[in-house]
Amino acid sequence: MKLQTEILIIGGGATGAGILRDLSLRGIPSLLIEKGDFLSGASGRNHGLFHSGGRYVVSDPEAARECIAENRILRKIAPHCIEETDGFFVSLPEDGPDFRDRFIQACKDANVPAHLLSRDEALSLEPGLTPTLLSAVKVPDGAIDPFELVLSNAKDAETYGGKFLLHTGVTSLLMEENKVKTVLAKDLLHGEEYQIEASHIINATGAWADEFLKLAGLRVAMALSKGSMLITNQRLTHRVINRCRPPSDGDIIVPNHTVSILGTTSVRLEDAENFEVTPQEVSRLIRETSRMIPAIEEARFIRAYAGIRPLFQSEEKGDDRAISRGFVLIDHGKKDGIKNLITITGGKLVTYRLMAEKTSDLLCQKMGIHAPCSTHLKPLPGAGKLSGLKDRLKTLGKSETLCDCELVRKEEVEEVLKEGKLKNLQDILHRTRLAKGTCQGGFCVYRLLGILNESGLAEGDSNNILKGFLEERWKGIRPILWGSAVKEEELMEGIYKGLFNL
Amino acid sequence: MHNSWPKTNSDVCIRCATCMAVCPVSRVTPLFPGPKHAGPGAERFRKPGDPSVDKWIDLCIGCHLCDLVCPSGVSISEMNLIAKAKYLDEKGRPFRDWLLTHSYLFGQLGSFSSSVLNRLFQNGVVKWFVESILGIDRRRELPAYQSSTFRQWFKSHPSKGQRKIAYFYGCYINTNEVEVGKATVQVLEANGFEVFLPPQECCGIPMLGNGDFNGARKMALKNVPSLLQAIQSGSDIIFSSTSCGHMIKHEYSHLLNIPGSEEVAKHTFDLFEYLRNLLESGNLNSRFKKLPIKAAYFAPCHLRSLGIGLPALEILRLIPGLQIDNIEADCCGLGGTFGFKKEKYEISQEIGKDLKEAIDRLTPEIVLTDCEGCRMQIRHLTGLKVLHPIQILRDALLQGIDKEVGR
Amino acid sequence: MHYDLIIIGMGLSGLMAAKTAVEAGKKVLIIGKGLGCLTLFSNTIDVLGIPLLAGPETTRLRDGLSQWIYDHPEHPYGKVGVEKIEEALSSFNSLFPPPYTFQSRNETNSLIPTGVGTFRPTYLIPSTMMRGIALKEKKTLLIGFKGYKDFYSQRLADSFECRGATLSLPESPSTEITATALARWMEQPSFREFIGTEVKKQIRDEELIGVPAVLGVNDPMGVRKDLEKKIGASVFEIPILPPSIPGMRIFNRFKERLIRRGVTFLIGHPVSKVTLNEKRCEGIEIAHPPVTTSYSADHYILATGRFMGGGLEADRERILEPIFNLPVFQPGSQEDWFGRFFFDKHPIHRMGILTDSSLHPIDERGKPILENVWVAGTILAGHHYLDEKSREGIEIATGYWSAKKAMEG
Ligand SMILES: Cc1cc2nc3c(=O)[nH]c(=O)nc-3n(C[C@H](O)[C@H](O)[C@H](O)COP(=O)(O)OP(=O)(O)OC[C@H]3O[C@@H](n4cnc5c(N)ncnc54)[C@H](O)[C@@H]3O)c2cc1C
Ligand code: SF4
Ligand code: SF4
Repeated sequence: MKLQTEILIIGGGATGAGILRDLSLRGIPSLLIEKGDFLSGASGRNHGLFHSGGRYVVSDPEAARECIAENRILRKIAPHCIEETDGFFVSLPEDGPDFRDRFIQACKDANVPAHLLSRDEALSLEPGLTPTLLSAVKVPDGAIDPFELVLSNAKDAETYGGKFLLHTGVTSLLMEENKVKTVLAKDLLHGEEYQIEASHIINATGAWADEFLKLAGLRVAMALSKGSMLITNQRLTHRVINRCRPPSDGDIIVPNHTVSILGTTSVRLEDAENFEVTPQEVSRLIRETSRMIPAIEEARFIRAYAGIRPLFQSEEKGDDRAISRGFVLIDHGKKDGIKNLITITGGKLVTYRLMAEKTSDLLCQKMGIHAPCSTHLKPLPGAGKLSGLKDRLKTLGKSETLCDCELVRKEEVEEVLKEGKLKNLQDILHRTRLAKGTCQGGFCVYRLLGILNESGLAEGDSNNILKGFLEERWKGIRPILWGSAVKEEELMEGIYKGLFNL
Repeated sequence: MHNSWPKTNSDVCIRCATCMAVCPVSRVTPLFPGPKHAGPGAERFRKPGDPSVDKWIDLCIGCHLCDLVCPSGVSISEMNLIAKAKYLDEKGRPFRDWLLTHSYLFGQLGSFSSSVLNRLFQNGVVKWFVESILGIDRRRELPAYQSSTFRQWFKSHPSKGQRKIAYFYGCYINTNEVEVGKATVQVLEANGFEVFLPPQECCGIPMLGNGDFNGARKMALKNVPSLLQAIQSGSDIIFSSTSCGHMIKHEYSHLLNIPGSEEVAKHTFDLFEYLRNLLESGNLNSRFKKLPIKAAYFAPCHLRSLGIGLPALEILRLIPGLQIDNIEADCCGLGGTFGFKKEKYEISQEIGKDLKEAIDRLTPEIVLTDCEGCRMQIRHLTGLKVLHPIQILRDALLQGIDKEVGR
Repeated sequence: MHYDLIIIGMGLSGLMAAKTAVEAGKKVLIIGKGLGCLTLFSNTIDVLGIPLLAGPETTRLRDGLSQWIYDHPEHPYGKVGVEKIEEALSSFNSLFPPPYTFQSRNETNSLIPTGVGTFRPTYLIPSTMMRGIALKEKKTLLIGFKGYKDFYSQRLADSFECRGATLSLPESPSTEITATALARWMEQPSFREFIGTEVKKQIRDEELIGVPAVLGVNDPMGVRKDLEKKIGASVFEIPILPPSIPGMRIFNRFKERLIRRGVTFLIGHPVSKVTLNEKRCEGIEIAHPPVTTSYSADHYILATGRFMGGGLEADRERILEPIFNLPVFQPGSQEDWFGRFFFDKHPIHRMGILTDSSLHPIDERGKPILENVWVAGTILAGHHYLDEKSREGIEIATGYWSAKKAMEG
């Protein structure tokens, strides 16, 4: 099928979805294609920290300034995606006060509000912290729900005429001396092929940026770094807990809905597709984070997962964390002479809007039109959704609950199904909190498949889908199987292998 | 004081739903989400600063059955109780709850008031008032107060024996089922004990069951020193009400953190547990006469969670002629003061139905059970004669003494 | 208190041991920390569902078992032997006189339909499930209930190539209903009247009606008979997600019989300590804070199940048996416990307690550790109960056999 659009965006992460919305608000016809579902890349596999900038104030003040500015904007335009928890930078005896003092000064310089708390003040607010801590610095960190964020962007973009094709990957680029003439893409589930013509193409493929550029015979110097995270069964703290030291492994704990997420690690990778969390990473994360919250040693984990960050080689080598996490915006017209191609990658979830704004500005400039950005002013849709924990708890006993762990109601799921366009199980799981709780979908996915069937939406053999899901689930569970998790697993195996003989 | 609440262990719940299979409340009403959701499930959603939204938590009857079956040892009912306390602390308790949980005060008015109270409770206008203003269900008969209290009877009863033993009789025995108290004393005496009554107040379980930790604590703080004194004087303490007993033995220390309560717990025994120990050591007076009765025994929830088995059943089986079957049912549904509340009466009755059916299957002449609440409920459900097992044991032991038992 | 035999664990193996011992006139105490897997998974009695025995009209179980034992002498079945396994199964059966019985078809495995649309080979089948075997041959209508979220008749009907229907329930508007609540309703004639009428409206030319396994706890055959009368077709139950109502029937039956026989039941509190003297166990303690109570016996049976039951515990490095601290046969470290895929045969399943042929626990060198302790149930090493489909069989056989041995010893 032939398609025509003004702008073609490749990649449905926060960046791509943000650009689609920005351009749509500016009235520029745009199409986004994504090889998986929205959030298949780093946007769906990150730590969920709503940065205040604190983490970068010392190492990369520029990135910190961007973070705090965007932090302020997102609180206004996306309140339903953000839990305003605040964050602590905790100093332990071995960290000493020097770094802390530098940190406070740097916060001041970067305009990140910081407030020093004594040991006792910190402990009374977060009793789970180690009693040996020296002090804590409070900053406006928070938790961000990337799923809500990206999907709200996509939804709003659609309202303003933006279009997208999911599960559609770029297969090749047809070049014409100084531009990309046609983009060939394929629906990876149903096999349909597209020839897409666009005046401009935006490469927002995150960690795949280099791989995508190869299709145009171009390269960008970047490396891949894997970051692993562990999810606990319950919230350990109600604030983000950071270690007040130069960024390192296992120094952040983010509360997220019903759980806490511990992270991260940083391991160089060659391949952006095949990776897993290693036992060494699990041990390191537990060892490091339990220095701040001793109960982590005994805590119950429900999943391990990893995401890939793109890193950009700068002059000085060394620790990956020293490399800037600020974003990269490349006009390939200037750089390589391919005049209708732009790459935008790197950055943070928190800066996705800024990245989208800058990209769109560049485009407008190249197209010679004047259309100002409005994403910093216009709230995202969906602010009325259930977000707080107590709002969910309130629904208990009032309607049919599909997921007993995360209290996802049947109506909620039916709502998502009604919106349509969902092509597989993971698409549904991305749009609800199904399978994100204690049993990780052990019960609710069985139920979901029943409902899909009843509403005539099931495609293919339900038991094959179920098996596929159990294998996918297994990847996240296998690294944390000890203690109660082993019991839980025995229950699941008892059901699916024993009772149901799958 | 709330800092002293035990740490909940909801993290170990594996979502297996075993608890859902036994919860008497969620079996009969969808209004209560059941132990798995109300306990460890909801716990993941509770944040310290958030106001309580657990509207349904008040429906947990506090039977502990969920705790007993959970393979992971989750203290579900305790979690529920703490959540209930928070909910009611925030929302406020109706005056009715205060009345129900402080009925021991009526007992303190002394016997003269009993006839007044009884007549009052039968009165139609009063019943209307009780239901519509107070929210106590009118279909529920309020317990009848007896003309002479157990304490009064005991005062004029010289107890003699080789060893002293202290008896915690509880409010209900004192004012409403004096016969149970008498039977207990008589059986203990027949086994060579001199019974004495340490100074005592309501054990506090009615308040605790309504999430009123402070009220319960007040009672416990009065009882523990008095019981400790009895223990220091060298005697053990026995109780004939499994609810009072469970409260004193377990909740005083675990939930309420009362100083000295651990020592009390070590020396406090269920009446039949004590008799079973006597049997074990060969010291039980088992010169029972033949009692050709067809009886059914019901194990109250609090007895089950005492974790001592079914000692009454074991002892009663020694009585020749007595045909006794265990009633295969879970919970009577009264739940202390739960079943008195208008909004909960239906639930309480529904739960009771299962018990009634189980009793009907056995076609007994009388029903025996250790808890006053269960006795009240079973009478209400079946119209059968319901006694404390000690009353039958007394009859088997002491020919001709006080043949007129209970109600 | 002193007993002839103390059994730790209230799963099927512990209950079988208690039954065996009390029937021999022993004074028995059975202790359970909670209800084990019985009320979660057990519906039918799986004995050995390996390919050789998988389908109907194949090898007789007896022959299959003999071959299996010959090939796997270290399997728990190898310690009990075919004859005693059969004895154990018939002892179990004796608890279930008609109408609710457990039977095999021609002493072979049968394939029964499950709640996910598959078939499972199993041996002893309760009367309420028996007719499900004919699902493939006879026209069948599957019935689900609105608000009951653990059974989807439409989806199953697709898998089984038959028809499905979902009934709205009279008293449940939008809220959900649990299996236990449904089972309770099923015991009420007015509810059956309603269901009967509704099913009749749905039925076309079907001879069989499949429902989730919720036909009441106390009198499932009575419930079924009444439904069949109202509907005019045969009704059968299909095993569903936990909790298992048929499992509760089994547990309740055991409990009722054992209490009547005088077995002391202690449920809800863990064994906190055991006192050992040389090669003997002299007593145990049960903690119920703030008190602990001591019990002693001449013989002890450990039947605490695997991880869910608390018989085995895993920390980040090792797997232990928490009560007697018996050595646990285990390969390697946490990484080696599980395969890369969920549907792999995980090495962890073979781990467990090693015993000699009379089910005494032994150490790595094969020496008995405790003279008056026997081990029964899935905690034993050397089986893959999930893949073998042998859970209940192992529990019944070793529960029975451990008690027999304990009474000899
Ligand atoms: C471990 C880790 C932790 C992090 N923690 C945080 C944090 O706490 N807070 C924060 O703000 N940020 C965090 N980040 C950063 C943040 O996740 C990313 O910056 C952000 O998600 C990047 O979004 P993106 O859209 O640029 O890339 P991605 O989300 O990776 O999106 C790229 C998309 O392009 C698609 N794609 C690739 N190739 C093709 C093709 N050929 N055709 C079609 N589609 C294609 C991919 O499927 C993918 O969906 C973290 C990152 C990692 C890795
Ligand atoms: S205590 Fe009783 S009523 Fe409350 S949740 Fe547990 S089983 Fe249900
Ligand atoms: S029985 Fe225990 S482990 Fe199972 S769901 Fe209930 S609380 Fe959780």
